[in-house]
Amino acid sequence: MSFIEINNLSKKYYNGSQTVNAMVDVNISITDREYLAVTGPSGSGKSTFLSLLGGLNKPTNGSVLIDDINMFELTTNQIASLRREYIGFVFQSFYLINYLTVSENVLLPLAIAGKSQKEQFEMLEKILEKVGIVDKKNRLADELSGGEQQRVAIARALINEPLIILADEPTGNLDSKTGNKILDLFETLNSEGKTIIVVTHDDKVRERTRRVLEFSDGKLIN
Amino acid sequence: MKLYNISLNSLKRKKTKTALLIFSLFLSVLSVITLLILSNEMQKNISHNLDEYGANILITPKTDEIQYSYGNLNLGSVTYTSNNLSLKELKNISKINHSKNISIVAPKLYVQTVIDGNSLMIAGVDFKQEIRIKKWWKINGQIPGVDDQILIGISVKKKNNLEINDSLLINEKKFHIAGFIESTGSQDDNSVFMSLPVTQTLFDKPDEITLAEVAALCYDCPIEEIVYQTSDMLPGAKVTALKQTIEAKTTAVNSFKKFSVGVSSVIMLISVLMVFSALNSSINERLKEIGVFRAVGMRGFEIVKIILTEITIASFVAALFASIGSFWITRLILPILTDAKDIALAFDYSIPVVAILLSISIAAISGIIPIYRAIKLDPAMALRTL
Ligand SMILES: Nc1ncnc2c1ncn2[C@@H]1O[C@H](COP(=O)(O)OP(=O)(O)OP(=O)(O)O)[C@@H](O)[C@H]1O
Ligand SMILES: [Mg+2]
Repeated sequence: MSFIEINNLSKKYYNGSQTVNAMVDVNISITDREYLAVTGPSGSGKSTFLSLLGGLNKPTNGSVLIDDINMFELTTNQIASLRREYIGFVFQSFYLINYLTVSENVLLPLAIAGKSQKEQFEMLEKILEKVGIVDKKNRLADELSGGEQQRVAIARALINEPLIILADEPTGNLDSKTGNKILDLFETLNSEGKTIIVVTHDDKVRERTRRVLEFSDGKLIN
Repeated sequence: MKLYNISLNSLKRKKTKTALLIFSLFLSVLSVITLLILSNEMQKNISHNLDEYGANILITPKTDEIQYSYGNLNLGSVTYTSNNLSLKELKNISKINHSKNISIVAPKLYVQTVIDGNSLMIAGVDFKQEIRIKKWWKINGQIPGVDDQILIGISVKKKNNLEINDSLLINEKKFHIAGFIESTGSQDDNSVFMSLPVTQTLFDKPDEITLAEVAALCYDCPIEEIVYQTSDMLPGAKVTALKQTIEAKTTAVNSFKKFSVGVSSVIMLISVLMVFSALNSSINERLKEIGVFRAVGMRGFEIVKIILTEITIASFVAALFASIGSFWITRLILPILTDAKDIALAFDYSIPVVAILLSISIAAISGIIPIYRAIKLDPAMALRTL
């Protein structure tokens, strides 16, 4: 059964008089528990693809169905709820809130989930442990290195145990040891039943996934 | 962590931004509140001053026969009137409900007499009250202090060739001229003013008065109400509101009101702009932040809650300081502006309430539009702004 169904997905950006075809007529079925790599040269539309899947962006054309829900027929708030329930998003450039601490950034998805203080604390400790950043938990996001920020971004995406993880270059700023730790984590999560889609340039990442989607000029070529 | 923790941390950790926001809100609320208090007190002050500038209520005997034409008093008829008012009855005016609004009561007994072949008008008055109500009188010499002193109008002085300290025989009694009133262009020019009790004795009219001029303060009470209450208390008298005086006063106070409303509006507008720029000095950062909130699954109202909590806390702090500030500023400025030393300015508890409402509305007006815009934006777009 397909978990994520993508039909005729297209996205055009209008830059003044210029039109960028960032996504051209993409059709894919992604089943439950898949572990996918998305590759392609810079500017080929990988980030665009991910943000469309996560409902952060509206397509010019086409549809994305998650668990049979047609995402772009929903209101903005409904998409937000869907995202909260299903999707953890790791951004290419982290997007941490710089006046919040590591813990507070990671807890953001739980601030609206109605979890008790105690539950929040337990989930926080667990995920910080997993991404290896417990010792920095009271530091402001501003004061972290790129690799540390990346791990905070990953922890934030994973804390509420979403069914789908969309990660844009999640190991781009990490040394190979820490990178491997994250990839191990992804593998465990996948074996626990999560669907994972990772944008990457890294062959090592690609090798550990089960399927590879390759983009070129917004088209899916493989 | 709860949503409000995000707001609190934002306020706490973005110190410069928070200080700027609170300060601009403080200035806005302070200026509007101060202006409101000042203009309110000044309106009251102007209103009272105008109310005491001449009479706005006239009390005359109830009669069909005799029409007193006030301001241009008909001499002939006054002399033959028999049903004058009683001073004792007039005193009952202090028993009306709004007696604290009665500022000046100036009773008068007019008697016509002839001296050296010239017809003269004698006005028995209570000098203290008379001087207060006739603020336009310019007196040369002194206000009579003892019973045998009189004040004369300019025409009386000229016709009879009189000077200060000269004596004058009225009804076989000798009076000394304490001073004369410079030209008023009214009946006063032809009158001789002496103390009321002396006049009553001299002309054998004990306790009688012809009329009384009253200045009522009607800033917080309609004049009709005072007239009504006074008529009730003085059944033998006809109580009339002097429409002309009242209209002129109302016009003056209203134009001041309009002026202060205008100035307040301009200040409000400047305030909103000031707070707007404080709130939106880092709009791109805010947009990105809202993009993150959306990306982690927050709905519009949850984001609004975070930002409104922030704005509300800042507004409260600003309003608190502004209330205290306006209290002190008005206490310093009011005595200078109104020359009234006895203005008892107790701390009015409605001030902080108004301040908080004002503060929150200014902040909300300045803050809601950009929030709304950011929420409408696709999160991916919001995140790219930087
Ligand atoms: N908001 C936008 N407005 C205009 N053009 C955009 C916008 N976002 C992306 N693009 C353009 O769309 C194309 C695809 O961009 P995208 O970010 O998806 O590429 P990418 O494959 O993620 O590249 P990279 O590997 O460098 O991250 C690029 O040409 C980019 O310039
Ligand atoms: Mg990208």
